[in-house]
Amino acid sequence: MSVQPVSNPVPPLISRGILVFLAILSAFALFALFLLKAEGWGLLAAAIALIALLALPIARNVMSVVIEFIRTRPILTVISCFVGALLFPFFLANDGYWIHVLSIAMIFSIMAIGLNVHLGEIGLVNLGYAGLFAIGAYTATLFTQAGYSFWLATPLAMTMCWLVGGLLGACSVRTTGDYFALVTLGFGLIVQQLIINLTWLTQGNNGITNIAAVTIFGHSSKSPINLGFMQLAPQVNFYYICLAALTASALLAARYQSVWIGRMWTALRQDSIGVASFGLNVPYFKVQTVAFGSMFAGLAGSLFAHEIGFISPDDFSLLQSIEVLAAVILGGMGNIVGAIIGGILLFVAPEKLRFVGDYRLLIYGGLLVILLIYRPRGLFPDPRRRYEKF
Amino acid sequence: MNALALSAIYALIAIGISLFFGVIGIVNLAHGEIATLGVFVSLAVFQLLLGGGAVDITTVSFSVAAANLAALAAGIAGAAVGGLFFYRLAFYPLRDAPPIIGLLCSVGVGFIIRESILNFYPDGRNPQPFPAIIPPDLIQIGGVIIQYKHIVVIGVAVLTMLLLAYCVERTKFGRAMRSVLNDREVARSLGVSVIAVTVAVFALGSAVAGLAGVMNALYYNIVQSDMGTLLTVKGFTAAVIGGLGNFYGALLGALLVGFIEALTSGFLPSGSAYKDIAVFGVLIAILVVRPNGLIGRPISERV
Repeated sequence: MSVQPVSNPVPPLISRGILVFLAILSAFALFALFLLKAEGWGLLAAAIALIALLALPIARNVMSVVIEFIRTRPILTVISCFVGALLFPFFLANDGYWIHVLSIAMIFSIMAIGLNVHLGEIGLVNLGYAGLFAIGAYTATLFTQAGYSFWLATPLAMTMCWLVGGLLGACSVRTTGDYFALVTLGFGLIVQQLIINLTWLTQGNNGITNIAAVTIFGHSSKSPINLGFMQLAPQVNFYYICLAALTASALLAARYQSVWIGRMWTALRQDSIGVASFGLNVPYFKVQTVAFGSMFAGLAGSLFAHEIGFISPDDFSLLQSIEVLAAVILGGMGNIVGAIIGGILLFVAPEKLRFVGDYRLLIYGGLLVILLIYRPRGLFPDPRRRYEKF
Repeated sequence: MNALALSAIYALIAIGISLFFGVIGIVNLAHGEIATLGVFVSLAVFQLLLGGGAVDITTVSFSVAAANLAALAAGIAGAAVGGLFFYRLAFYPLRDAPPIIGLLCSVGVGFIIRESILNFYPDGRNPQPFPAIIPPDLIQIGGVIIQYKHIVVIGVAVLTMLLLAYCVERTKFGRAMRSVLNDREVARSLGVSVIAVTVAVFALGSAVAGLAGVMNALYYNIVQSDMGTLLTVKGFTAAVIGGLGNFYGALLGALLVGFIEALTSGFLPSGSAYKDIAVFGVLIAILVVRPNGLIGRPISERV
């Protein structure tokens, strides 16, 4: 497909563009088919075969060719991914369960994008991201319970997380590396304990139930969408809200990455003293960055609370923090596309692994160790880090 | 007395965490899980030897004493062997990777241990009774009522710490260990086998963790598969408060953690619910004010 004679009637760039578009759409369709049809041990065998295939050096070369091919038309790729995601409920044949799972997976990806700012960009390990997520979820829920609209509560939750993130960032000024990881570990546990114990505010271990549905132009998110020729499942409402939020988050983070801020992030991660000597106000910049990354947790928390309609302290445990961290590492630190794919994969995988039942977390831990040993840079290594050792 | 006994257990965990960080340079979030592993090995030996309570284990006889000792030793050995196994499996391949990767890997190891116990130990999903081999009697010394188990836990911990202190300060191995802790490159150039020291420290730290786990089990007489998480977190807090990589700092930190817990649950209304919050709050405060711990040496950054 790459070597075309000059006398080709179709100009090569257009045909290549259409090819990329169709390839991405069919990838989405295959993914939908996989979600709906793959079951049990056959699925596991297929997954292992795929991983083994990908581990071969030749597969790596093919992958890099494909990636280069896509990279020549980045805007088209993004647009066709967006179109694929828009059409995805139709590919899923209106199956409410999987649409719901994917909505949550996208919320997870938003968190991965936010954590990527901490972990991937400035190299701070945050083991308490679930704490920020919890703050976002509870803030939004308390506001909607008090009668405010979801559309007001979400920005408020994001502001709250931004402020708390700023406090965490202030801690990161003096404590770096592993010590910051421990600060955030303590932070996450404190938030969870506070939620359990402040029963007058959060109803403790019982959690908050009956979180109101979201209305969009008078249309409730719990009622199905009527397109005239077909009824879409009610879960589709939130699918599109989450898709919009994910797109906005990814674009915002990508924008930050591509302007001077992103270069400062990289420089700060590699040599903070060097950056300081070039005149950057490192403490102020660090606080700003950590706050920026935490803001996404507020968005994700608000979406999560309203999508599930029920939140309790169990949703915000250390395990949740670890899972987001694993999503970022799996995707490849510093890579936004990687963070999105990592988030979706890590959330969909447990759903598909339900047939192994109790051994799910055991397999999860084993896979984490294997992945870290063999692919410490993740599935999609950040191209900016090509010349770094790790 | 409760505070002291808890401090003693935390100190044993904290020493291992602190040594691992200083000598090997890994943040091991699976340390509590290794302790749990030791506890369950010990429990298995108990059940094997005593045949499900056929022998009254509180009676004084030679065979019972031997069985008890064997079970405790098995717990310690099990933790050491388990620690070495996971070192070879997960940490050794990553010895040149940045600390973040090692930290995440230890989380994975923690998952593996916890879930293995949960799934493969008979009825591991539920809390298991641990044989109460210490008589639950109270004795009175100078107006203070204490239990035998307090004496045993504190006594064993103090003995272990004295032994460890001797080991660190006076033996050849201790000297090698301290040299690696101070400067890995110089130690290597002076002929210290860094890898041998690393392996030895890992085995030693894991064994001490196993001992701490068994003491914890003897203290509460109940064990469950997820007790390791709390041990890790508390041990870490203690190690960090004192200053990671510092043997005596770990002791000080453990004492502080134990007493903060006891004070919050004792003097605040419904304080026991908030004791973890108090401990972690102090952890964060100390990290922000003195990032190298209370008696840690200041680290100057190399440019």
